[in-house]
Amino acid sequence: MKIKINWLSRNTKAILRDVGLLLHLPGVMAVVSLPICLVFREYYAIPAFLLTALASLSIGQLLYQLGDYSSETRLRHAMLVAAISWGVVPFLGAIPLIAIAYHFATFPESQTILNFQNPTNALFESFAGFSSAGLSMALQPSLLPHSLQWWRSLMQWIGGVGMIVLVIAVLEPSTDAYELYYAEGREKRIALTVTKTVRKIWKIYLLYTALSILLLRITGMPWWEATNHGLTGISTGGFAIADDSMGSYSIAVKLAIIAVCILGSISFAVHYQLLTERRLSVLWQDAQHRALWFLIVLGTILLLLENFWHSGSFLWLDSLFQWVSALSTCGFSSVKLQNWSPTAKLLLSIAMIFGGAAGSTVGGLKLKRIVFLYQAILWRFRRLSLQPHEMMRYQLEGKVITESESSRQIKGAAVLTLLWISLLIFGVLILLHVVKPEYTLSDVIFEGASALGSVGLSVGISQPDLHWLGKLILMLFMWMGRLEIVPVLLLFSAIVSNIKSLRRQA
Amino acid sequence: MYVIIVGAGSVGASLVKLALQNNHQVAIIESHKERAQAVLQKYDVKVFHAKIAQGGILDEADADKADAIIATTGDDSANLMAMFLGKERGVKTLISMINDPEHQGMFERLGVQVIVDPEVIIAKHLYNFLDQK
Repeated sequence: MKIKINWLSRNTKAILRDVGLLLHLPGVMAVVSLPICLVFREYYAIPAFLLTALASLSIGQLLYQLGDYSSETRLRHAMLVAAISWGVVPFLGAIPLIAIAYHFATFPESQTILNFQNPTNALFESFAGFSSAGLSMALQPSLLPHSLQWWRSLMQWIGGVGMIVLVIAVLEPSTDAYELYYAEGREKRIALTVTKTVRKIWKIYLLYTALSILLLRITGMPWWEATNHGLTGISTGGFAIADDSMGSYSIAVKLAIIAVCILGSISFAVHYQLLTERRLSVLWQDAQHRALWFLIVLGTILLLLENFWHSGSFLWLDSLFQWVSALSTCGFSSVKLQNWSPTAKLLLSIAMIFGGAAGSTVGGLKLKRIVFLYQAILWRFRRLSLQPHEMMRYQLEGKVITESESSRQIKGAAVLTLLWISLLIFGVLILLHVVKPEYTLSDVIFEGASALGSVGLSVGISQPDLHWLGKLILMLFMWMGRLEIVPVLLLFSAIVSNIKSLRRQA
Repeated sequence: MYVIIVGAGSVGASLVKLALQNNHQVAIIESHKERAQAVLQKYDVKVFHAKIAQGGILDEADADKADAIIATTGDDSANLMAMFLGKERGVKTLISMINDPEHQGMFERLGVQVIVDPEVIIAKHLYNFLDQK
């Protein structure tokens, strides 16, 4: 055993240990799901979840034991841990889907569940679950067993707030907790330490989840549907257990869903302030949240006008619903989006690229960066009007920052935006070859933006009959988009450089 | 009023605060980069990073529209230059701090209101408190 471990470098061992820690998570989730199987008398699901728990806990323990504490903590480590974990956990999350699908092979109930016998479909569903994207391979989610409906919702609920956020709330990883927290696409602290921060985040998250479920129940959803949609709504996930997402629910329910989506796209720091200070004004105190409200209003108006132009009717509720659903990266839909105009689809794509406020459960570029870039444009023009020796005053979110700090912030936002757009173009170029001919360029851009922003709105491209390459691209998008691209690129480059050095040794 | 303050040391920076509190418009000329940055960080004012001797810096700061120029640097030659250039541009109120009392005559011949030796003034103030007891 000793010899076997020695070829692993100390750094690799530290990464393995933390990845092992995170791989326990699907196992714990599977155990938590067992009561659901019992309540709904779906006893056939129990072995499937036990198998998931066994696989997850044993692989997790193995890596954990094989690994070691790291002597140094670096952001690079944390990012690799995040990239590997978020890439591997969905494989474990796919196990219940496949296992239960095979159980139904002997006495088929519906095509919906049988489609998950294909591991690619199950894996796609699991990636969409953990990344809280909500693109789905389930043709009719209402026909899935309750245990699988629950499993899909649970994946999104955990994935939305973040696996790492959950794990550092209860355990101590060997990599610096703050760097892990950061690597998962979060950075703002609301308490003195990261551990306290994530515990507060969890308290807020639990509270809002309960409120969302209650709100949906009050507005007329049955308990089971309210629970599932509450979980996938507050996590801005978007898996639905009704066949047409939110299409057939009442106006009250749709308005409630809009409220839940908006709650989910407000940063936890602001929620925390709101809960402790009890002032509504914190909701528009910072530039990011002002941008959120502004974009909700502006986008809805644009979408209303576009729908009026295209179909002669404003589609008041649907325009508002779809815009909020896209911007908050929630991904519930109230209509069949295939029938909307290309302009409407592209407008929604922009919302899906933007996303909601940083520090919440949303995907996308996040409004903080959009605000930075907008600010950078203003600065650019202001610089031009300055006198030769006049110094530029850089003000960001109410704070005056130095020139180097401002360029660091802008650079970060600009680089990620560039990566985001490039990746989207790259994906669209490939997807165009593999989707069915009825899908146009705007459809493909829409679906790509939806996967990359972990939104989940679909024009119908994400279906079991999509070419495997198309599924692969969308899965990659969901994985990379959830972690804000950089960690995954870092993982790829680490793999390439390792292969190179191995070859040199050989 | 539009006030140009030359030098953003401790005196200059306090002056900015007072002027802003009284709703005056303020521009600052400071040759030291970090001090200029510090003022910019704290107050929403125009800051020019330049020496007063640099050609045209007062024009950049729109000195012909200024109601007053106040020189607060620790270098009397820079203060004198600021006053002279200000007078040339027709600024009505010229105020300067003087570090060496020997230079007082030079400033006064130019028609500048002066404060000589700020340390002595502080010392006198302190002594006055003692007298009142």
